[in-house]
Amino acid sequence: MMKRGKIRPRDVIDLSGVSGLRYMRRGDGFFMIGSRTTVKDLVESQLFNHRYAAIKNLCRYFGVEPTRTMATVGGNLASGGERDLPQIFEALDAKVRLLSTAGERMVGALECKPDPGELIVEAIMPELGLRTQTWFSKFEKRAANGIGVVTTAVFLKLSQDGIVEDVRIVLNRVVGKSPGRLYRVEQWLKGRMIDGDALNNVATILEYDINPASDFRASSEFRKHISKVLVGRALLECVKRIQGDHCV
Amino acid sequence: MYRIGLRVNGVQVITEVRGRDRLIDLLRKVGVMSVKEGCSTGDCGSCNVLVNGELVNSCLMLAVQARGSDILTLEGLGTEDKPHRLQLAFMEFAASQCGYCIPGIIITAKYLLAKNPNPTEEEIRRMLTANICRCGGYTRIVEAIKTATASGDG
Repeated sequence: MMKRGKIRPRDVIDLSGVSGLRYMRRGDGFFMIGSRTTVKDLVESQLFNHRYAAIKNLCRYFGVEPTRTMATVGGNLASGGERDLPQIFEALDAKVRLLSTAGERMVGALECKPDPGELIVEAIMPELGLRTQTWFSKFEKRAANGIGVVTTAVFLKLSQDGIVEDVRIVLNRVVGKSPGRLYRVEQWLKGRMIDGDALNNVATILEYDINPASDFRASSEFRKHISKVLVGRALLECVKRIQGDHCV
Repeated sequence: MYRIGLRVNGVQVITEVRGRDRLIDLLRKVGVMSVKEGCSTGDCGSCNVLVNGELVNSCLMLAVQARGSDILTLEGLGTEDKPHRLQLAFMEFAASQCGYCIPGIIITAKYLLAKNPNPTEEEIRRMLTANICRCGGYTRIVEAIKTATASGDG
């Protein structure tokens, strides 16, 4: 943006030397991820187990290796355009801590829009328990390093009998260009089994509830169709992984 | 202007940069010409270098951000008399066509081998998503990297 002259900042403050903001910690049932943590740190961290497939999948869907080396959690939360981390963090029920000289505040991952003078300190998310799984996938028009046409992040918790106890579904475009949760789908799924009929119903509700904006990458109808496919696949992948999870 | 120091291919360099200068600007200013500017947006990888062993698009990193770092470019990999085994493999397979993207690709391959000395073809191709070859010569590039991985370490 700076190189193309679209933004002309008077001053730029380089935070890359602030090593105190680069950390991943675990304690009291939560993960704390410092804003200077790179996407590569996040993907390669041993801190996150097999339930965090949504995070692990970033190594496939988030740019390429040099992008992941440079890109930070804070940078992705703060920037505009199509972004992956806010969606994944929303599915993981994360909150973001913002700090300024006036004090601090916590916001949801999708609502993280720092005001001038505010610094993103960290993302905080609860640890995932037994019989849970997360998934993240992206439909892009290149084999890699493309901008997502549709991306979805899903969190699922099943009971011993395979009944949905908790679920969060996030799409990159729910209304217009805004990412958001599919609350009605989530509500409908709770207490049900995820089978073929349920997925058909999910697709019907989703069709009714979302209205993604068209642009040169894809039409609204196409995005709607792909959204149905990706959400269905993500739910099935979570079910498959929970059922195959021998740690439960 | 900012006065910064860094090591380029093992040689200490002290130079003055402007706040808006990128690492690629600095490197080419001090004569490291293997670092090529392609897309300037982090897609093509022609400017890839290693900064403290990490693969970085030198067109996306500000020069001041590289202060105090160790930079490795193609010039630091091998010499004409004693080429690196990646370079030998690229010659063996004639893996370079116009050649513009090759320095970046060899640096990406060097990074891959340091991380994973025995990559599968899938892993090589995944890592090479960091680079674009406009000639489309990927088959021989992948063959060359596969051969180089089989012939030693580092």
